[in-house]
Amino acid sequence: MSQATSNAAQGLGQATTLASGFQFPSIHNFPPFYTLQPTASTWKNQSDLWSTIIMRYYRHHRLYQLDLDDSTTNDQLFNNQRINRKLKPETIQAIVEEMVKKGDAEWDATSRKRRAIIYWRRPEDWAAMISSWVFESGFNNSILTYYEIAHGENSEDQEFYNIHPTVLQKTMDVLVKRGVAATFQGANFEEMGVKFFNAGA
Amino acid sequence: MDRWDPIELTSTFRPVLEPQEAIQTTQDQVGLYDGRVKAEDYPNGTVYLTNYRILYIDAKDPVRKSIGLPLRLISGIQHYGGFMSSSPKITLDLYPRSTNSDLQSSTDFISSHGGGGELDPSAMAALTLRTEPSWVCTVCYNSNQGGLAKCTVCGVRKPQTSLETPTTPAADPFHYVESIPTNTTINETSGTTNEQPGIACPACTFHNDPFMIHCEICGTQLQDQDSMVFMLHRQQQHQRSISQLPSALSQPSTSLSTTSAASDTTAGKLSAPGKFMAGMSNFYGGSKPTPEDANSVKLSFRAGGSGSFQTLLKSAMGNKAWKNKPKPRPMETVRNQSSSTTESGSSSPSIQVGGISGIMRTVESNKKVADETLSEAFRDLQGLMDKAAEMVALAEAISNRLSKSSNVNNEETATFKTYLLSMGIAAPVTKDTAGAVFHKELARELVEFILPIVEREGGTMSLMDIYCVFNRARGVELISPKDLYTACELFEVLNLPLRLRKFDSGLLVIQTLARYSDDEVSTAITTRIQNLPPGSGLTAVELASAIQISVALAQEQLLMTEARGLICRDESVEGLRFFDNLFTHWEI
Repeated sequence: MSQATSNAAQGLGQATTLASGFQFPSIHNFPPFYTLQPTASTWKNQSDLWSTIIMRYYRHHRLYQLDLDDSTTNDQLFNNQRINRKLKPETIQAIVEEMVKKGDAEWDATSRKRRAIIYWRRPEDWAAMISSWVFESGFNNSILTYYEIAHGENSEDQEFYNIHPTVLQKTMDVLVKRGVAATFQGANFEEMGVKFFNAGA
Repeated sequence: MDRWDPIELTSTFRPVLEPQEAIQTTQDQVGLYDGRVKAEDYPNGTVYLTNYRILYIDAKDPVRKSIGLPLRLISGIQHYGGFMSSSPKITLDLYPRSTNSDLQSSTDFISSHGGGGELDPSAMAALTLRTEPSWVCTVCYNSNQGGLAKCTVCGVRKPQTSLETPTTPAADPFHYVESIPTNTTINETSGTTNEQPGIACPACTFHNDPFMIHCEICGTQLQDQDSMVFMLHRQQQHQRSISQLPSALSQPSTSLSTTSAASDTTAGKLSAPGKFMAGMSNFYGGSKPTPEDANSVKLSFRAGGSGSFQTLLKSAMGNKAWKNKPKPRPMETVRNQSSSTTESGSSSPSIQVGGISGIMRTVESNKKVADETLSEAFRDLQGLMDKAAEMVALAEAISNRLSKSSNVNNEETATFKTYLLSMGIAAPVTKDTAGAVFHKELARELVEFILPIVEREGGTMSLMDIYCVFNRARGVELISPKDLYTACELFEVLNLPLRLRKFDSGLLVIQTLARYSDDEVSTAITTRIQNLPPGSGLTAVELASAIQISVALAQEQLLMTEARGLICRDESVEGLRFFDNLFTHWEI
């Protein structure tokens, strides 16, 4: 996982493991990891590392939205009490900005870059996953609500259970665009309906 | 041009000055004229006026084409203001060749050396009246004076072969070279004067005593002044050899004839003839310019500045500083005098004591003199300025002594040496002395002074540090930061081995040219950081104290290394620390 190239690497100590079972890589204990590196090449490596850690963390905890103003959610991620370092909101913003560039995240358009969706799976991946679940479960040609997909009994063991509404909407947009499904307006977001067509029909 | 001597230069092509010599003014873009003809080899250079000499340093080839002319050879100055495209010029009339520089210097030397008194000035004057042996006209057999080119009676030209005519063997200068030394040497070693044939008169061929100046028969001058120079030179060599002998051996020598054989063979025979020969071949070799051209030199001021140069030249000539030149080896002179007084019986008990106590007494008296100089120098500022040169000399002497004594605590010595090193610029370049080329001269002086210091500091120093060190060494003639900056900007133009460098943050530093590249610095810093104890970073302050550089510079070097992606930073309340760049190869 890591190369002990120097004394600095050895000094990072054991990787922190959270109560949730998530294990941070040992670079998480590296003090400069919490400073925005002014050198472009270094910053690229640093932001890449951060985005990998963020996505792993979000996937592990099934999180979707990163809110710069909500420090409680990501407290363990961005605040390393062991070495007494934490990422500044600006730095997090810069990291997310890098992730957005790569398509790993997307700013909430209304939040002025304070909230972002972290795509630890791309909408395309979700789309494939949901559609295969639909076909396997025999829900094609029938109408499902968004609630049924995200919170329904049938999807309890699925990865997309409790999926973030925005991610779900993006996923459905992908499916509609492909011609695999059609959406129907509902009274509110959860009552929105979707109908999957027969594959190849 | 043959009056000019090659001069010694420093590493940055500034002239090496004699003790007590001081630059009065400097002017660049000056060309030299030999008489009325442009001197091809010296078309454009910087001219320095000191209180002893005029120095020309060529702009293109300073190593080979740098020459100096002693002011004492100048008899008059004419100023030409320049007209249309003709540059202003200063014509320097030189004393005719008869008061030859060699002769002049040798008499100077002897009179200043303390062993003089062999020749009275009137005899010297008589010697200088004629420089060349007389010649006999091939047509009318009239005996003409040596300097004349045509016979006074019939107007026939002086025959080229007259120098080799058998009737005037002694007139041949090359013959002189061979005959004089052997004659005198044999004469002196034998201790008698009558057995030798002596010198044949160039006019009547009568063989005179070798020490005769004029022929006993016809009154013709026997020895041209160059051979007299040779004699004087021998005499002086002889004096020196005596003074070098232990005092018990030395005998008072006051005339040419009573020289001791032992000392003569030690010094006189060995070095003098060769030197003499060189001088002679110089004198007679090559084509002689016409007297008019030989006796004047023109300085052409293409970039102006002739007016002030002339004023200063006049005052320098008026001061005649060369007459007060410090005597060479004053210590030895003192010893000479003391030994002679001892032998002559006069009482001077303080120095008379020999042995260890004598040495100790000498050391003590030297110490006393140094103490007096010190207290006098520090009495007030003016005194300090007057004594600056002496103080620097004293500091150098102490430094030398320290380097010789090895048993002194090394660390203390090193510290003390650094103090001394930062003390001494004896004759700082000022706007007054350098004028138009002030910044160039300043740059050169700065490089001479600062180069060893910069190298000791690791190849880089901030401009601020240099300003402090440099001004401290200058003492009183302080320079402004702007002057320093301007001078540093000229490093590249003047091809000096230092460079001014501006870091991205605006910090200005002076770096040695090639030895300490960014690569080396950044590699060294990266290695240093990698070898730190696990989990710790490096701050600029730590780096500065570790490798003895200023904090600002350490910061710059760290930032430079960081910009190369070799290290990364950690900003926290504890300050900015730098760590090894683990991000580069980290894979998760």
